[in-house]
Amino acid sequence: MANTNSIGDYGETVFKARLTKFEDFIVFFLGDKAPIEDFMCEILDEQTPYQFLVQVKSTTSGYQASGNLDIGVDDDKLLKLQNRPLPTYLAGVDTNTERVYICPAFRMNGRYPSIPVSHKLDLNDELATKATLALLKQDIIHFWQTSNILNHKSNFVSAL
Amino acid sequence: MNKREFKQWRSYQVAANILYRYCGGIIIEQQDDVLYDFRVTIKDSNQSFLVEIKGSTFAQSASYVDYINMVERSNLIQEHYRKPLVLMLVNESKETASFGFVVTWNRGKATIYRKVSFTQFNQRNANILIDKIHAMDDTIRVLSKYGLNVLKKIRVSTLDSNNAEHVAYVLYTRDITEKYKMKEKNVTDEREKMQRLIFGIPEREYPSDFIDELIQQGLQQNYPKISLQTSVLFSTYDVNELQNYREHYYHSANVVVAPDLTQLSDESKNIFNGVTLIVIPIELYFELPEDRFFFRDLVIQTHIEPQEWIEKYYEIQKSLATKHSIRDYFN
Repeated sequence: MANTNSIGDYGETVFKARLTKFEDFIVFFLGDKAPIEDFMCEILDEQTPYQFLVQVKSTTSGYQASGNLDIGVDDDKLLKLQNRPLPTYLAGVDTNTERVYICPAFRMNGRYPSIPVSHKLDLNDELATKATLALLKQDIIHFWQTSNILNHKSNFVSAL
Repeated sequence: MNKREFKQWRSYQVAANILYRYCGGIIIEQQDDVLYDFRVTIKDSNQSFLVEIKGSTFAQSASYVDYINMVERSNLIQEHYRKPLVLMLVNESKETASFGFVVTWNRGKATIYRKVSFTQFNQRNANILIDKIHAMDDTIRVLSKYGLNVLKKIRVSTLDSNNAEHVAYVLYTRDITEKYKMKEKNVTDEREKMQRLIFGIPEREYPSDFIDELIQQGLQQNYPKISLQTSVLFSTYDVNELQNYREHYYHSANVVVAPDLTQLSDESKNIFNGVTLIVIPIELYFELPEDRFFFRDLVIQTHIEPQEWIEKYYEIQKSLATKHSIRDYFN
């Protein structure tokens, strides 16, 4: 039986393969040095090279009766993730089927005792995968453009 | 990152995904070496192997020869190279891969394969890959679920014009399944126990089915003197013994099974128009190189009753998927 580390490592490779399937994103593994987020990802587009953070949770336990993926996120860790100013997401990986489920981690004090399965990335379901990736990309672009970050950055007076 | 660089980067992710999927408890470390991209450690045995990742068309390119030449020029005695080296060809868009050994190790000696033999990366082949890597060191280990097979060895002989005997061996493996498994042990007395100690498990207790019978039937029609010896591939020692056949001359043949229509009326014969014959591939291995000239039949025909043909056709085709070449165990 695979131990927790093996499941985690496997889940991370599944996440990377699924998220980058259609060349929308590139992912950078942050490793143990970043204990809250696992990946920093970036939209592969010179016009909108926006970044976001993802924490990946992998499981072999399958699904709950509610239909959600049977893996939860520690409340304290989730709060810290939500506290990051970049857009933040959770990715639940079902390593039995290699399906990935993406959900937002924006609302402070939100909780995820399990991972909803509304938005999936599935090697065997190209339509659903493309839809999820398009929605994710749209979400991130919308976040950054409504934050007016480029304007803020160009007007920011650095102390250095 | 341009498109080509992205595809190459993604190939590494797909390769890692496939390795984790099929090899289970492993640790993958990405390395920056000219000969390999990953060092993979099998957790249970702490053995490592090296993996070089390339695109799916690499083996047909000029770069393939350059790579093999580079391997040959390298000092493989260095500690970090003293591990099996696997070349993994990844189809990044389909997320599939094939693999083959470039370098294997046996008793401290490296063998480099200029013509790598590639096989598809699936669960069975991945398990056999791990079994082969385990067989490269001195520790004897029990084989994985897919490596643990029944080995059938049929001795076939023929006489030449000088009455000298020439021998070939037909070898193949069969998966152990719910239907194809060891029969119940029947030890009746102390004498039987002693015989088992000396001669091993009696042939009658090993699994056998219609496919095995058809092969023997076909061989016996062409070469009347045959004898069967069955054993179980159990440990890496057995794999090492089997790999010795790699050095033998061999050729491939087919046992072709057709329904016997000789006793049927013309109308009844018409039922069998257009049926696909059952073809069972076999390999004949020769102890002496010159023996191969005396076994020229590449098609060995045999027949079964039409009723049996109809009843067993699909069952046979299904069972054929559990029969494998011993070359799966070669590097």
